[in-house]
Amino acid sequence: MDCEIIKVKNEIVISINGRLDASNSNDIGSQIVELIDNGNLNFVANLEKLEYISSAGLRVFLFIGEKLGDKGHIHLCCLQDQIKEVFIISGFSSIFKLFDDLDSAVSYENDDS
Amino acid sequence: MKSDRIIKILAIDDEPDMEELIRQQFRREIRKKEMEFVFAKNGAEALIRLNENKDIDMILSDINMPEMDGLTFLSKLKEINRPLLKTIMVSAYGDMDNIRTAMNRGAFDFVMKPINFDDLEITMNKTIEQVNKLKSAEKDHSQLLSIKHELDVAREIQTSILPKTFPAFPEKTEFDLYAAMDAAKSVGGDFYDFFMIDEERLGLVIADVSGKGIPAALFMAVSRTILKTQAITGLPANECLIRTNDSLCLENANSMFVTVFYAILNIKTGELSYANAGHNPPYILRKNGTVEMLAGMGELVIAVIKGIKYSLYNEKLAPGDVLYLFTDGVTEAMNINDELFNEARLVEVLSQNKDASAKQIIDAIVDKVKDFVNGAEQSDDITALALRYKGKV
Repeated sequence: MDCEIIKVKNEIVISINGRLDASNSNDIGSQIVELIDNGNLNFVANLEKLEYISSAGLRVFLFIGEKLGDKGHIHLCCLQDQIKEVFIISGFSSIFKLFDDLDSAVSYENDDS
Repeated sequence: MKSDRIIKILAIDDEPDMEELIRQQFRREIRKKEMEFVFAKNGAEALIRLNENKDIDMILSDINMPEMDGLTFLSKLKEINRPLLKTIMVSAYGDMDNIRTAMNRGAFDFVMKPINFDDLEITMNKTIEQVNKLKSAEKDHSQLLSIKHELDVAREIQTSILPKTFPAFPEKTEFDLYAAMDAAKSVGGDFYDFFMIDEERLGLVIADVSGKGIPAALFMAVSRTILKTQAITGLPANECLIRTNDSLCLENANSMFVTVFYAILNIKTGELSYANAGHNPPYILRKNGTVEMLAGMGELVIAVIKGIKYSLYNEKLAPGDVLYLFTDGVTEAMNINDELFNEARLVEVLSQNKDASAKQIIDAIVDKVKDFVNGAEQSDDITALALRYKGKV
């Protein structure tokens, strides 16, 4: 699994490739936590190349979302169909903002900004 | 000498000035507390010193000594079974026979007399490096064992908690119920549950806790208990989930969550009422072989946001219909080509088993999943519950 981190406008864009499950979710989580601890509060997870997500993977987003609270956000974009389905079934689509493309995710006017 | 800690060395020699010579040669290391020496005059005394000093890392031993020589000492050393303890033999120049014997008895290396201390130090460094490597490998190994033990504990928590006696309610002729969990190597937090709420109402649960290992197993145990405590009071299914969610939100410091499907079946009428917190929707296999997905999905998983509401749904089972609850370990089972078993295959197997018993249905699906993954390692628990409704017989 690959994870790429770049900055676009004021957002940290994290591209996650391959699988996100119990085997790598802690690594990704702590990378993001480190970014938060360094003062970054606005995140977009680009899931274009994410092929599988387990519950442990979902938990990373939940954990990050809770950690950011009202101070920041993590938006998700470019979900493949099977990933989107997981977000819909689990109700996670109601607590995260999902975008079809990266552009709209990074230029979204956030209530918290 | 490079090491994070003090290296303790046992030097065995019958020559009276050897102790002085070593203290002199290694005075810097001794002063900086990099090395510490213990001395013995022969093999017998050395064994006593070893017994007194369990933390000795390395031995320097002469061969020819009174009472117990160096070669006998090596044999005795083998018997006390400290494989991390390495011995450097100090032999007379050209004494190949004794050196061969010493090596065969487990000596790590040797140096010649008269001792060239530069060479001795290189040999000692090499030995210590080896000892440290072995020690670190041993530590890794024991950590691995303890992780494995933890996983066994998790699996035990997970499996011991589930009801496993079938038929579950032999006196109830209105339904045939079977459930099974095939736990993956790395333990997840799946669970199923079933219980009679009263004479007419049967509670059915399937759930999946996020993550794996001990945390998931413990969270699963707590979730199951809270849910069941609410459920047996006879609360409507959605109310049950609302209360379970509120309780679990209070105790959740770790961003864990659990997907739960909870249904109440009236075994006299076939009326089914249910609520679904983020779980994949179950299927109904109708008597004629058609398969329907239960309505209602996309409500948030449990233990994330306190105070949220869940909807109540109603459905009806006719005699001969089957309700099939499962976790995503079934549909997301993956073969070596990274293909998922998926819903389509599940629906197909279900419809092929329209006349089968609850147990046959569960077994048939597990078999098909195993055929499909064809040797790929099972990454998630495969958990399912099947209920064939018979109605009044």
